[in-house]
Amino acid sequence: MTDTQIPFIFDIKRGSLEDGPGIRSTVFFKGCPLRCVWCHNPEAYSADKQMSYDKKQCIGCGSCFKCCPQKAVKIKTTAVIASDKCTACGICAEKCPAKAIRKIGRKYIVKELVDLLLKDKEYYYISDGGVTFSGGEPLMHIDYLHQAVRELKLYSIKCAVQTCGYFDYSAFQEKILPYLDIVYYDIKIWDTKDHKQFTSVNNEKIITNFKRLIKEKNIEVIARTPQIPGVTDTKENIEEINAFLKSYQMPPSVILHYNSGGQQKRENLI
Amino acid sequence: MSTVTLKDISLKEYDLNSFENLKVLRDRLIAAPVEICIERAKFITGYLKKNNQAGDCDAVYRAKAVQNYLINKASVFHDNSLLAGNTTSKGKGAPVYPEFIGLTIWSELETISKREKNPQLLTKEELDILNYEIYPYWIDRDVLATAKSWYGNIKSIQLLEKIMFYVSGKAGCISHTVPDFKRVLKEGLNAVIKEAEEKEKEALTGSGQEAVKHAEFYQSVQIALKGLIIYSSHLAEEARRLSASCTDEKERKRLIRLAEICGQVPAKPARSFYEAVQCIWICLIGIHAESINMAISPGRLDQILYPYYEKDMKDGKLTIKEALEITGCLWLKLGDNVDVVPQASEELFGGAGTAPAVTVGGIDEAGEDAVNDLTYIMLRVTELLKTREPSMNARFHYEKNTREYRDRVCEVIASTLSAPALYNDIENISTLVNQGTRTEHARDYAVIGCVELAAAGRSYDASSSVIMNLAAPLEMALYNGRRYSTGATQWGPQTGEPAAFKDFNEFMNAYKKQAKWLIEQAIDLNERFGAVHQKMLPTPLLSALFEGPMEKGADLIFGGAVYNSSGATHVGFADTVDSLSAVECAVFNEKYCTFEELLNGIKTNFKDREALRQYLLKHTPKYGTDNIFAKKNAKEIISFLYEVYQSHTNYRGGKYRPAYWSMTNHAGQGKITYATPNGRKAYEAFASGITPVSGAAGSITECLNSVAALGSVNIPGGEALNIKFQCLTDKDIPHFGDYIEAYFRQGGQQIQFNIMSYEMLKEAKANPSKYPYLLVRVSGYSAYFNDLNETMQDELITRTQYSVNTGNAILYNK
Repeated sequence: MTDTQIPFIFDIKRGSLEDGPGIRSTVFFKGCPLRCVWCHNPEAYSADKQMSYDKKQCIGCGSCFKCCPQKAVKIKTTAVIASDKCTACGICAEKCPAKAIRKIGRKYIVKELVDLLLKDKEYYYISDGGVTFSGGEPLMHIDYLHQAVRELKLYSIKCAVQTCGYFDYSAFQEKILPYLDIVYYDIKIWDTKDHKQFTSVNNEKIITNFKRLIKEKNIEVIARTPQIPGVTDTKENIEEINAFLKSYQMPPSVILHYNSGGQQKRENLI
Repeated sequence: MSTVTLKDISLKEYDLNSFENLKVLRDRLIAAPVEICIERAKFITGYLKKNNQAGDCDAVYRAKAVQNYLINKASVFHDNSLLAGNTTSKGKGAPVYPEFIGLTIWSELETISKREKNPQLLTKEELDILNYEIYPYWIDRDVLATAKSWYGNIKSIQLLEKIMFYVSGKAGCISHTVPDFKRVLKEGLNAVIKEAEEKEKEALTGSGQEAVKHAEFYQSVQIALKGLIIYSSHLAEEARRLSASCTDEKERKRLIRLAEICGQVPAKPARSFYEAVQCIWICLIGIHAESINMAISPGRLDQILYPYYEKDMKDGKLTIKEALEITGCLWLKLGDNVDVVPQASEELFGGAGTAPAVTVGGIDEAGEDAVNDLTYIMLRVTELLKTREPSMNARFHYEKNTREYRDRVCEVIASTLSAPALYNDIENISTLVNQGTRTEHARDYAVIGCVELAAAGRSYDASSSVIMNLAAPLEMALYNGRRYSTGATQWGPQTGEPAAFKDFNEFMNAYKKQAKWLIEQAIDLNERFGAVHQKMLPTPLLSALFEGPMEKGADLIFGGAVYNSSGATHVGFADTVDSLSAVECAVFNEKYCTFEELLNGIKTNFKDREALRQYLLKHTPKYGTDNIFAKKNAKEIISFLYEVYQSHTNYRGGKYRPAYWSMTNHAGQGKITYATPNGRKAYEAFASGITPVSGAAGSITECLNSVAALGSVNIPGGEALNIKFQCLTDKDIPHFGDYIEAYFRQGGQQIQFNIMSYEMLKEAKANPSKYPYLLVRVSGYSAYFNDLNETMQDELITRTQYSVNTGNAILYNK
């Protein structure tokens, strides 16, 4: 796998009870085909590396100013960074003593990622937990993910994927599905027009993929809907989604409480 | 063999309302003011003053003094507890032990009753007796004074008196041990006295110095034990006397029953669960009559008492409810005394109880699941009472104990918010076996005081012999053998000015030289204090309640126990390891700054050098993470200290055992230690015990894995890992247990919790009345939050808090 094929990962959360059964590690990929207006992981939109800057942590020491090859930084009491000049080269992040500037996204070769995830294998085994791949959209990176889940399966580690449903089904079916235990599948908005308006894509592919997925054997599929006030949590939307699920003998969609943490992260993006 | 017959192991049908009496006793005990008690000091000193040693050997002289106190000790029934006897003459007493640190409060006698934090009440009459009769006798005779008169003002004593290098437990106590109660319960003290008589006679037929010493020991045992039997008979008489005039039928019955029981035990064998518990309590009173009240730990009570419980239940003589109530009364009795705490010690030990440790669960000597009904009864009592004493410890063997047991312990933690602490049987047993303990004895280990391990009733471990500040040698390595706060005074060897060091190894070697030198000073002092103890403070009563001394004819302090060791614990481990890694990274690997610049940073407490401090805090390797340099340095320090200590044999023939628990010393020692290379500012608290520095570990698993990676074999003295979880709901319990078990499966030795958030603790500090008896785990022992000094409260507030849901550290925001 060449370097350009390795996706950026922007976070790995360990020891979590939130992203599936038991104790889990969750891997967050960069890159997403959707642009949901409410997204709480805005750093996951772009599949490319990015920079973030938290002004509150800045001590105004000027390290970034001194090292920036693009001259994108000015120092007032704290640093002011011109986003149009910044190329996300990351030099300032390495120099920033207070870590006010950080690189978002780094590449792990598969072995490195798997080794890191295996550090917590005792927790997965004892709690019937495992690894969850999230994002962004993990299924944008089928080949990389394929190698990771195949490797994890050798250690009998249970894997889950959290997806927006907008992916290439046949590649998924061939390379990911055999190694998965659970798919958390977002059905955000039933109305096609609204879906397009709030997420920037049509939901036809998403619904079709879902119908194919629930016919598969040996995989648990859990439908989920984020609770976005006035957008997804309307009575009609929830009822329509649940009626659809019911027609396939599926339980109602799991409602995900809205996480407002995205706003600060969005502001910090350079 | 596990023998659980309870239908509901959580015993939910019994709540505090089921025990009107227990509830009243609990509330009264917790609210009672601490009163200084001079009764023991008065009778012991009185005897020694009136009777000079004359023909008596040291052991007999001491035994007679103890006997004199026990005979004259008042038999008081303060309340309607189901158990008779008290360690002091007060409701909640702080007994004065003038042989030890008792003298340090001399200058505070006028103010100790009125001081703001944790006042200890002293009557005018008792104050005068201390001033004119007791302290003048001991001024030249206490342990420290005796050591000084024997050895002069040697360096190891100077270092002790500076406090900021190490504290020597022996100046303060002969204690920190788990006695053996099995024999006295089964045979009674009369049988022990009889054996001592016979062995004394037998010894006297021999010749030579050795035979004389044996005979003297056996004689001293008889004297001390007779004193305890007399005390018990006085309790019986008093109970009978009170019952005669008692009009309340229920109360009269209680007193008559107590009169009968105290007539039986501890002289004769215990015939019931009730008698067994009363017997253990009287024996503990006896031990406290002889030795100071610090971490005299009852041990594995669920195992020791089980045969009596089982028989009574089978015979229909006991109900679960009665067992709960009797156990509850013992729990409250264990809290009837606290230590006298001078103002200066408030900083180091403030809020500490006496840490009598009870251990439950785990496996038995045969290696099988030892959890029984009493295990659950004791857990329920702990859950209901939520008292500081006893210090509760649950053993867990992940292959033998059930998941129900594990999760029940977790449930109790969620409910008390802090107790019990958990111990990994597999690691601890193999660690003790590695120390030369026989497997079946290692399997029967119990916790001493905070977290220390002992082959219960067989190993005399004096586990608090040395409390070493690991940042002291760090500073000495940075200042060529000097300390920042003592200027030009050359303490340790000259290991060179760091600016001239060419690589990290040179600095690491300088650190090791300084640490080795300091440890050898502390050991030197411990050995000398040991010799003073052997002259001044033989312990025949405790020796009689131990395996070994009766067979060997030697007192515990002459190495009579089956196994011996001395424990040395360490304060500032994480900060020191991080400081070493910071030097390695910033000066040598990354060359972010020169050694000189780093030194200037810490010498100025980082004034106008915030960028340097931020770099040190955020870019250098931290223990508690996966960073390989941090892991390497942590392991290296642990194995280095292990080797240094294990190469020393103590005066009792046992090895020194390093440990990592800090009580409140990490806050106290931090408060007198200047800035360190890990970016810690001057006088800030250190991280506690073996716990990583707050904020270092981003996730709970990373933190637990790092500690587990240290293993336990090199930590034979025990460790305290303090973890704070934000909250814990019923549905989290199984996974909470999973975190612990996975940590144990990777080699983690011990773990203890506070289930509380930043907000809750800040609120508790601001409005003490809102959380009057909030029990917190400090580092080892438990304390009531309100009793702690501000430094310690702040350390607890700012300790990293993890979310049980995300597994992530939630950063503290001021």
